[in-house]
Amino acid sequence: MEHKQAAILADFGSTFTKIAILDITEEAFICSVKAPTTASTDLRDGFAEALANINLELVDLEKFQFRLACSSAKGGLRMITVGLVPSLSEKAARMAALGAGAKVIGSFSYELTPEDVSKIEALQPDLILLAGGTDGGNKHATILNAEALSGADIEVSIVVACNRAIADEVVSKLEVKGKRAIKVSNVIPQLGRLEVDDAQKIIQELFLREIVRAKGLFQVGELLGGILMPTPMAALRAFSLLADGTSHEPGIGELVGIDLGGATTDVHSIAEGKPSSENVYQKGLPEPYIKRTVEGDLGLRISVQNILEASDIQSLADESQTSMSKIQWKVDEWSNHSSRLADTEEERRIEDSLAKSAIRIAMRRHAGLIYTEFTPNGQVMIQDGKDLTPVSYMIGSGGIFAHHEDPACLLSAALFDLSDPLSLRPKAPTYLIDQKQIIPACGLLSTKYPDMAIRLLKSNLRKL
Amino acid sequence: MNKIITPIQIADITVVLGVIGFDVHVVGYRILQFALESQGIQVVPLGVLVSQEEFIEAAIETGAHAILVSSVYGHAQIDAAGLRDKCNEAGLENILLYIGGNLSIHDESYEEIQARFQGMGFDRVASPDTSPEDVICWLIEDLSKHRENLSYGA
Repeated sequence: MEHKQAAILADFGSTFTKIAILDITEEAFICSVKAPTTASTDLRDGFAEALANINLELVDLEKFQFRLACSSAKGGLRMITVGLVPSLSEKAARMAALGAGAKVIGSFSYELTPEDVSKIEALQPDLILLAGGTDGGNKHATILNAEALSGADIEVSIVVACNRAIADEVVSKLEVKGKRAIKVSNVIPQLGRLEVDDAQKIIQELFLREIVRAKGLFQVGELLGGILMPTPMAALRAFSLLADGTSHEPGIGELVGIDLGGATTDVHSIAEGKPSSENVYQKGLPEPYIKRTVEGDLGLRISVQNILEASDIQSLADESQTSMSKIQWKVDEWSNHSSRLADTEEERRIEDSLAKSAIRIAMRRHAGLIYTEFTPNGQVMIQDGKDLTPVSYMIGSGGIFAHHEDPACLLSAALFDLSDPLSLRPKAPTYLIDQKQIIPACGLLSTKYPDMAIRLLKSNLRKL
Repeated sequence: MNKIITPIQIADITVVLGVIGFDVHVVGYRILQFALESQGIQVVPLGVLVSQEEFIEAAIETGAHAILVSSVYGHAQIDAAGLRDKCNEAGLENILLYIGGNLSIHDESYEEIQARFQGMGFDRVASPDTSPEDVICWLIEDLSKHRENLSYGA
């Protein structure tokens, strides 16, 4: 085989390092391998171990045409967001950070108190996003927050995405005390307008320039030319490319992507989500077309206890045809030993019922709500958030979908439910499964060859 | 000697405008939005079915000088009750509150209605006969009066 026509796409995950090798001429994945991530020592060890599974002839890295990597190792991109009003600039900042692939570990509103500042110091984020005020709007609170942050014992960069009128002042208040501050466009320039692109671009640049280095992940640079983006951003790029297409390759249309992992459940929607009937009034801050939410408390291993707490254990027991104590026992085991798999038939049923519960909760938190108000003018329907009922595709990614006999049964937990009709979840989407776990790889590839990336997504996702 | 009053620049004025409660009558609101914007006033349009909390949150975030409440369906007294208290609670002690539309379903004089809404903390009460120009004049007059502490953070 001609090596120059191959590419290597690596994803340094929190547990596994996944490597996909792509034949560029044939537009096909040659192979994909994985090995445990070695973040505590040197990422290159796990990378080499994974590559050891491949035909040696291929492993001369110099011969690959390009080598790209994303990473969520060492906690991924841990961000704190600060805004003014919780439902407005704070929410806008949070959505901007999530859309940049970050894990939002803390979110603060109004004026930061000394207690808030101590919390921020204790959380040790990788990056802070400071918003507040529409353009020409509130000035007072963000200036006070900049002063509070300027005195905080933190070494990280602060992205300033606040009221344009005071952004320079905010930056200089931070810089005067030795903080690194970068001014970007306001994430909420007007009420009802969300502008997250500029902030997200800078977040990605900082991830590349500073955070990868600060986390000690830079050794990968020698191998792969650096880590390009956080893994969730690669996934989000792949989903949005698949939905919208490129100028040469049509997309498949609006979709929802669900990624259920060991620690978190991510839900992505690439959809307008506008009210589907003209008798419905939209309320609240408009949500982004490309929206990502993360349920940091819902995962099948490290955080499996939380799924149990958020669910009705009796119905989990009924669904998995077992006893409540058996479920409790397995949940304890999995949360303490994250590498253990569900082996027996019964264990698999328990894992399925937990997975479905996590998917149901995560999708309900992501989708919009509709409710009726009775007014002197008659009945009025109000929508808060995105209406995802008409979405045409739903994609399942993550290990559990890839290895499951009946992934459709898991995904069905995310559907519109007549017993909970106010939650605007997809009604009749076509299911696609990321069986070969190529979504982050295609997100990476899209930075070089978007047309090829979408063709690969279309041909490699399994339609059910 | 009285303090010299400097008139506020019209382009510096930001107002939050919306139809309160469960009212969806949008015509008066639209006319006012158009009139204010055509004079260069920054209008934050919240649309219809706006709750008191939404008015307040919008005013905080945008640093608005005034909240303009429209109500046409006759339930203004219920919908707007307590708005001033909530503003005070939210740190908007100095914000101007205006209300206008069909504010009563009873056979009352404008003076009676005005007195009632002023008692509820509204600075200005517009009748169906009030023109948009009157509202603009009120804003300039009221804001020039207390320029030094306009509203929360503005």
